[in-house]
Order: sequence, then C-alpha cells, then structure tokens
Amino acid sequence: MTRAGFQMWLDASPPADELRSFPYIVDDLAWARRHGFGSDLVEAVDARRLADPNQRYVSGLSPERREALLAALNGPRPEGLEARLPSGGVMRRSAEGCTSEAQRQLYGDLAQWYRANKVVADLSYLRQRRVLADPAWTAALRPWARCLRQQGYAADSPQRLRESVGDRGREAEIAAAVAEARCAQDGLAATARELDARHGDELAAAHHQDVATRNRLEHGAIPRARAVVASEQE
Amino acid sequence: MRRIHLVMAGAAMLAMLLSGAPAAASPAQPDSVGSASQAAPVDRDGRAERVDLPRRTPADGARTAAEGNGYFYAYEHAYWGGGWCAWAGNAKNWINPGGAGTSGQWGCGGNYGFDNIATSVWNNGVRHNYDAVRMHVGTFHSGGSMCLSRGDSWADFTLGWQVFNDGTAADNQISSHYWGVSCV
Repeated sequence: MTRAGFQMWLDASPPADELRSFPYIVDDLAWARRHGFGSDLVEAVDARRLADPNQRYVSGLSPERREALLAALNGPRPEGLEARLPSGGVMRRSAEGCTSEAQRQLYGDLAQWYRANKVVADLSYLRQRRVLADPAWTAALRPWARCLRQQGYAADSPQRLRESVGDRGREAEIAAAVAEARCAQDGLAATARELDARHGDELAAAHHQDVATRNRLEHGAIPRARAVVASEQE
Repeated sequence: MRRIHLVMAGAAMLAMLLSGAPAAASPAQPDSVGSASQAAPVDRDGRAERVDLPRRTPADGARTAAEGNGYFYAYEHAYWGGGWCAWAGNAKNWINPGGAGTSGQWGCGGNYGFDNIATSVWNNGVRHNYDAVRMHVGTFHSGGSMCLSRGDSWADFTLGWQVFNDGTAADNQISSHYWGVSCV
C-alpha cells in the first residue's frame, strides 16, 4: 500500500468479549448480563470502526483517491478468485491488489488457498445449519421454551425471543438474554455443544482434502511470515 | 429481484429481458433507489462520515462494480444491478434503513426500505479489525446469518445456492447487517 502511495495502520486485537460468538444461543450467563444478545458490542464496534485510523484516513480522502485506495487494497472488482462453497453458492474476490499480492507471497498458490480457505470457513456455517436442522436441537428447544414461559417469555425459538425484544432497550435485551442463558443450562446448551462437535467432525471428515490443503498452505506460510516480520523489524 | 421492481425499472429492464441477457452485464444503476441528486448522508448520531455516491458505470460497462468507496454494497439484482444500498456502517433494520441503528448509509434514499430485496452483495470495506459483514434473515440481527469477508462477493442469489446458516435461501431475504470481527 505504501508503494501504491497510501498509508495503513495495524490494529491492536479486539477485546475478548467481542471475539465470543453464540451461533445458537447465548449460554454464558456472565456474558449475557454484560451484553444481552450483544447489541451493545455491535454499537461499540461501530464506534471503534469510526475511530479506526484506517477508516478515518480513508474517509478523509477525495472520492477519486478513496476509489484508488480501495482498488489498490481489495482489487478493482470482485472477480478473479472463486470458491464453490459446500453450503451452496459461489464466493468471488479479486486476485489483484495488495491484499492478494501479500497472500500470494505467503501462500504461494493464491487461487488454491482462497478456495480451500473459503471452503473450510464455510464448513462452520454448514455445521451450524445442520445443528439447527437436527431433530435433537428441535426437541431440546421445547423444554427450553417451557422454562422461558415460566420467566414470562412466549418465544418458542431463540430467533423469536430476539425479535420480541427488538428495539425495547438494553434492560429488556439483557433480561431476555439472561433468561435464555439460564434456561439453556437445563439441556439446550449441552445439546448445542454435542451437536456442534458431532456435525463439525463429520464435515471435517467429508472435506478432509480441503482441510488438508488449507493447513498445508498455511503451515508453509509461517516461515515466510516470520521472515517478513523479521525484515520489517531490522 | 422482485416482480414489482421489474415493473418499476421500466424500459431499461425490458430491453435487457428482451435481449436475453438480464443483469449479467448491467452496470450499477442508482435510479429508483439510489439517486444522484441525494444530499449528504444522514447520520442519526450527528457523526460526520465521509461517504460518496458510487458513480454510475460508464456505458461501456468496463467498471461494472468498481464504484466502491469502502462500503458494504447490496444490489436489487444479480451482478450489481438495479437499486442499491451502501453502508460504511451498520443497519439493524432494512425495513427502515434510515432509522435507528443505522450509520454511514448511502444510496438507499431517506425512506426507502431495502428489506428482502438484495440479490447481489459485495464487501468492499476498508481494512481494519471490523471489516467482515454479517447479514441476517431477520431484523435486529435475528435469525440465520451469513458473512462476507473484506473483498468477497456473492454475485447472484437467484441461482438459489447461497443460504443462511439456518437454511433460508439468501435471495431477497437479508433484513439487517453489521460489521464485525471476522467471519469464522
């Protein structure tokens, strides 16, 4: 990016609470008490995004320069690399620009790495989809919903519970998330963990070649990455 | 793409349909939804965020989707066609994309809902910790989700392959989105 005439800043890692994700239900009571379903984190992230030096820098550029920066960073258009996802769909990205150039240096075969990386990442979506469609999940929702009803919530699914809270404010969100997490301790959380692990194992086995390719290319990149970092520190 | 918008899009769309090449080579057309005459974007919290209208693609189609300015883009039709919305920030209710929980929005028009309309999407964001976009079936980030990392795109949901993690087919179903740490 410097060669292309632009500046870039590296970020510190995000706070740990932001790195937690709950694809099925919030089952961490302490986290639920702090964040409800997490809408405060979405807002906090938005504030941090606006304060980020990269975002501020880009926002301060003229439209022409901004377009040039994004073309230099992401490539001019989202075509060139392609991954057919196991969950369905075709994801594409540019093979040009500084991101692609750096990844090509790291992984060697950019097209192969992009494909394997996206396929493996997609397995987590496929896994979640399978968990949510599993009869054991649906069955475990029923006692969970009964428990919720005793706490004053009529929702029969996590989605309905979130929708019922909608825009009713932080206290309502936290109360609902705490109820969700508390009721999940009676079996739904354990069911989610079991199903997640089982479907994850099955998918990794079914797509072992992609997993192996991704791992091989990323392990191969480690010494190259170390060399880059070492040369920057000289 | 919904039927009503085919009607709204008028002659240009009709010509494309007749030519047998719908949308595939179509430039972004900020007509019915986006508008070149729009004023500066509204930010409910009064924060100034520098955003610009994606520029109309030249007639030669050479820059089909190159009008990016650091946004998450959602288009009405496949391959970046039809009406569009662009967000440098979040929108938790696409029924009312100018409402609360929206930031850095551009292109939708003040009162134009983009709920259950998107058929192609592209994350042309700026690189930082929060450059992954998570889209949800439901408003207020409820229901199934799917995620695009920076640079990635889905060009045509009408094919029916792309689905949210709850199994919902993606076409005309996105109702909210936010920027987050990563897609994994």
